Amino acid sequence: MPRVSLRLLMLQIGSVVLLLSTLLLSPQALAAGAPTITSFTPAWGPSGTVILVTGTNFTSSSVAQIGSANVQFTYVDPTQAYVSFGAGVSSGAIRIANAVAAARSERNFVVTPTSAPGTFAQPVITGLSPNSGAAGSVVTVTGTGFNDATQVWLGSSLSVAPTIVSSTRIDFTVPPDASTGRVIVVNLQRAALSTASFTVTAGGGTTGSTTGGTTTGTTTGGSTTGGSTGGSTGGTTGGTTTGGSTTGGSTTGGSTTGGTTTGGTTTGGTTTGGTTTGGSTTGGTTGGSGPIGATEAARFLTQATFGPKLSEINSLATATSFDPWLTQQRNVTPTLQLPYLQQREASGAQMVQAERINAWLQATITGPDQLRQRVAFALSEMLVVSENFGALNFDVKGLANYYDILIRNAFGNYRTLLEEVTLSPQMGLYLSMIRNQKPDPANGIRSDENYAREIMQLFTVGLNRLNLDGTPQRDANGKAIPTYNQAEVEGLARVFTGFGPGGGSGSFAFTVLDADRLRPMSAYQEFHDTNAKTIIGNTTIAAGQQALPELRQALDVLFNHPNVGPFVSQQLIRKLVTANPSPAYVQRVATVFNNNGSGVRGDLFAVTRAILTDIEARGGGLASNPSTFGKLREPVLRLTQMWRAFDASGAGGRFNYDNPQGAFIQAPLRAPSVFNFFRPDFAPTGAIANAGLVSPEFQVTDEASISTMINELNYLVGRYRSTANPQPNPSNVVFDFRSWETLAQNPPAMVDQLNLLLMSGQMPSAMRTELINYANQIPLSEGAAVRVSEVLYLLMTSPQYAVQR
Amino acid sequence: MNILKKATRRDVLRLGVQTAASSSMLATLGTYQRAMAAVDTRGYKALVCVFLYGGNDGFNLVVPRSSPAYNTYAASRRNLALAQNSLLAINPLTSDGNQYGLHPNCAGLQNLFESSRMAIVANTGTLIQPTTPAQFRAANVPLPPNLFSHADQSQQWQTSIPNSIQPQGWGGRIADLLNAQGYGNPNLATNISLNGSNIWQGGNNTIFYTLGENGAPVLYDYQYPGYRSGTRRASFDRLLQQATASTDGNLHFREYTRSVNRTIASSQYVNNALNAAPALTTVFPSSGIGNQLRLAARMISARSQLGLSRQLFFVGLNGFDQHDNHLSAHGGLLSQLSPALKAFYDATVEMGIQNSVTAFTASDFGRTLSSNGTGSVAGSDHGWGNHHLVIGGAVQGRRIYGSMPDLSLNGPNDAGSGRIVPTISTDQYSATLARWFGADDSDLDLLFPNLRNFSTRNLAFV
Repeated sequence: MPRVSLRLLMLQIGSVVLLLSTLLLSPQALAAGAPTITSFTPAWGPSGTVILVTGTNFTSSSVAQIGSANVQFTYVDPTQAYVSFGAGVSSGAIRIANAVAAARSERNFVVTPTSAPGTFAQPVITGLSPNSGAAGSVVTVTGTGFNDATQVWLGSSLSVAPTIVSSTRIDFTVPPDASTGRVIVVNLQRAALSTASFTVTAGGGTTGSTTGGTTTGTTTGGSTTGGSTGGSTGGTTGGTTTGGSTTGGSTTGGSTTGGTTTGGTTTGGTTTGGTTTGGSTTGGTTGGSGPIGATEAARFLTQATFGPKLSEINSLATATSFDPWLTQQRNVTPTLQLPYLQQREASGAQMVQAERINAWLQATITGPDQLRQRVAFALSEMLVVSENFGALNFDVKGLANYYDILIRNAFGNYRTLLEEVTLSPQMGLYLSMIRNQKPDPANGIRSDENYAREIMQLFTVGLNRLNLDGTPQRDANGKAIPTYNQAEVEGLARVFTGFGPGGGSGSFAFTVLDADRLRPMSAYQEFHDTNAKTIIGNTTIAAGQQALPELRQALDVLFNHPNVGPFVSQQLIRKLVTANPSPAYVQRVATVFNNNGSGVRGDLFAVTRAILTDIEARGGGLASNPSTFGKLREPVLRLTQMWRAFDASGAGGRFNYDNPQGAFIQAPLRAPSVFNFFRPDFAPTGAIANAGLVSPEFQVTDEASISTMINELNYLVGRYRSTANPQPNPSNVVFDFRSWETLAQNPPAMVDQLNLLLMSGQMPSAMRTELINYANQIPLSEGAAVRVSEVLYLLMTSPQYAVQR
Repeated sequence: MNILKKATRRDVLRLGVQTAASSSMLATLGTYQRAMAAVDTRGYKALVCVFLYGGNDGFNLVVPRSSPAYNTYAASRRNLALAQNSLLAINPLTSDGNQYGLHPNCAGLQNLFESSRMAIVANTGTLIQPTTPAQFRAANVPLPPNLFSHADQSQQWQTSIPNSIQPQGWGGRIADLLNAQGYGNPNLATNISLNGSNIWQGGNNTIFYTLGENGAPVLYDYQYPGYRSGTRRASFDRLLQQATASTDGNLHFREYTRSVNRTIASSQYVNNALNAAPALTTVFPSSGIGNQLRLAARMISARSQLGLSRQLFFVGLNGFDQHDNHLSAHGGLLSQLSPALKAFYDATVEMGIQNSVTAFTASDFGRTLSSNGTGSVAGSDHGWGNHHLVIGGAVQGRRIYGSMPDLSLNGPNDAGSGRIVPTISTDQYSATLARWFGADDSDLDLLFPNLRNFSTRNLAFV
């Protein structure tokens, strides 16, 4: 054991190795696993700044660095620590090491000369050296204004922890998933784009050896080295990779369906009962040895992504466990919105909200980090801010940055997420916490209660006390027990006082200056109420505290309330799997929220994994409660599922579909109010309400919205590439039906494929027959793609499709 | 007229089976003629709920303009106070010794009030029983659950059943009973929403029909039935029939299937009726609330074609939750609301049906009198009692009903921070509207279970 630790340490943290002997003496340190850093705040500051770092496996004897300088480390608990530093420290990644290994932050912390540096330098890239290389090679970027750099991107891939050598030189490592593209250097406010592309070369010692396995083979195969991957891995993997994206149609379409899918789908999927439930139960529940199978893989991916692709289904179908996929999804580079927008802005694009929607569609349709994006979208419907609000109407980059908070923390800790959300200027503006100040009795001013009330009601504990399984606790008279009272709302309202525009100080900045939309709000102590407060659970907040530590204390109290586990878990289950989870299901997930198995509370990746791998999600619910299991598909997920299934794209990788909410009701951060597009507890009048159940999406499902959506689908299915028309109007998002044209000559096979992709093999046999008959009425002389388009319309508009289960 | 006379408690639970979902997909001549006959013999009435989402600040809608009441108001509201000389004077026939005015952006409402077409119902809110501030503070009387919470208070406004597990709106329960009395039309729900989903219109068995601001969009294959020689429409219909006849008992699936059937059944029916109805010349303001009320007026003008003699409409306006930037944002919303309500009333006059149509406001709650900030972040927080408006030819207008509260902080009506304890219950307010719509005294106890806790059962404003 010590020898292993030593090797790891030497390999991974280099200069910290001197401290090894100290670390090894600590039994506590030995007990911990490898540390991770999920986030830190603030993102910049002068010497003397105290940085809150959040992650896992911190120990009391951990050590920290910024760049290459050793800095002060203050242990709080395994998930939180403070890092502070003095003079002589330069910008760089934050590193935290324990006895086992070291972790580096994805972003650099930026050391600034003062606490209000004004604007950060505009980075400019003048050269790349070399201008090509394989993953793992080091590239030197020359230019100016690199002192404040936080990230380096190669195309859409983030390079972990670049090294700022000087204000004119920054070095970065080519990420493993990178493909050829331009280099972007990002600081907190601006981005620089290289004029030349950096060419990622295939193979080389590094890629070859690391990507030997199946997982990365898929990635590289997809982007550049299609030929070699296909060749080497042959039948299984090669088929999977190329089937989806490149060569598709002719050979692989046939072989894949024949081999993997049809066995499961055609015979089974059609006769509802047999395959669907049968297949999934054995696949998921008994788990162990057998392969997952195509229909169960499709069902899982429908819950976990923005819609499965055939290649993904086939890949997962042969696996025997969901864990490798989940792990791969946890580790894949997040697709963030702000860096993309900054890149767009740098190349002259106007910052309009459509750019943000475009970034979201690109990420959800083509992003590799599907699970993270899906969870982030669910979080965006719980921790709501919205463009439909005066102060945020034109805050394009700020809202993108807010969404990035959700993306970055989707697999992080809920406590960290809560703090980043609380301090974000978008939430500050949306729920009027920014500029909230201590009571001013002489002028009859109270503290604003808005954020205090809603953070409790909507973001953490809810109105009534819950059991671990999400059911309400009752008093002796059978009445629900409120979690907090009005006096406690007023107390918490006074905690949330004294937060103003990020980076500023003084009365003028607090009361007048517009907030810097990309910086967390800062504390303005003179506006903070320092009297004692009573908050939820009759908890006392002591008098005389600084604003930020007090806010953190209050967030700790909220975060540790026993309601949070069941409250958050139930909502996430409703978003991903089923509207009416059994109390036992909620309890199992809430238990993981409370403790991920390593003593960490609020680990969202562990929660997501628990939701998706639970027996109720993996076939148990469908088998035992077929009348209630599942959920009405979220409207905009219909759009993304359809586009993903057929590799839809627009010119230049853009998705010019600016107002998804017009027909599909939802769009990221465009809810009508903090209560989201629909409430998690909505029940439509009739059978569902009468049974005491909920079906939230029905709040936005009515005659007007159904008609609008069906008519929009009628238009959308007509926009596609075919052999006859390979380059349709470049301003539209278009399906690619070319790889389906062979299949369309065989309507039963085509319908089965659609069934697998869009309905997880759950299509009733009568519907299958109807769709086959309809396809057969369309002569091939019109083009095989017409059959795909027409059948797709009927499927997507059918009630049989409408429920995800 | 007693619309509910045959209803019993059992009926309330049992009746109302005549939902649109169970109807045939196309109008039959017989149904249509039967509905027409109903219109002819039983007259017409419409009730229009105007929901001000987020909690309208009624204390800046109706404001004392004479001293010393104005001074009390200004001392409590501080930087949320409207200027005394900006108020639009109203001259109620009722008097409590003070003079009152309306918000300066409410010229249309001032006109309606002064011409006796509008009444103000003072300090109304959710209650279980009459409650004083002292009782509220001591918590020694039953109180509405989750006071000051948007979701819960707007639900109680719409249901009149505190903390109901299955929210059924009182508008929906009225429709249940109307249907049981033969007022329903199998082709179209009695309840029409112009503002999407709401609680007020959902009954035990009654489903409401939702129109977009621009009417009922017709499905492409129904608008162009000849597309692909009708083969796609035929397949679409067969898939829907399969879903409808399916033995698949999944509740989400069944509900969605019902919704699609209702969409198809009603959209053409409504469009045909709207196209055949007399055109309106009244000009509505071009705003969301203006468009909704215009469409409600058009649906009333099409009442003969629609074959409905009782209709309940729901319209909504969002954005009243002004914790920041209160004066400016509230003024902006009222400048949309006032002309839209005036135009709606004018349209009913144009149709000659103003005495049969009553519109009323509802909202989550009132707001705190006290302010929560300075400058642009001056706003108000969630309150309780609130002033409301009732508009129509049948309204005993130019009057203020109930008592205007003392607006002093920590005064006799204050629960704290200027959260004014209501002196009229939403049950009394809503029951008065239901009575006008045709419910008799015994029906009201079924619709409003807590009404019996209040001595005045009829506020007689309409």
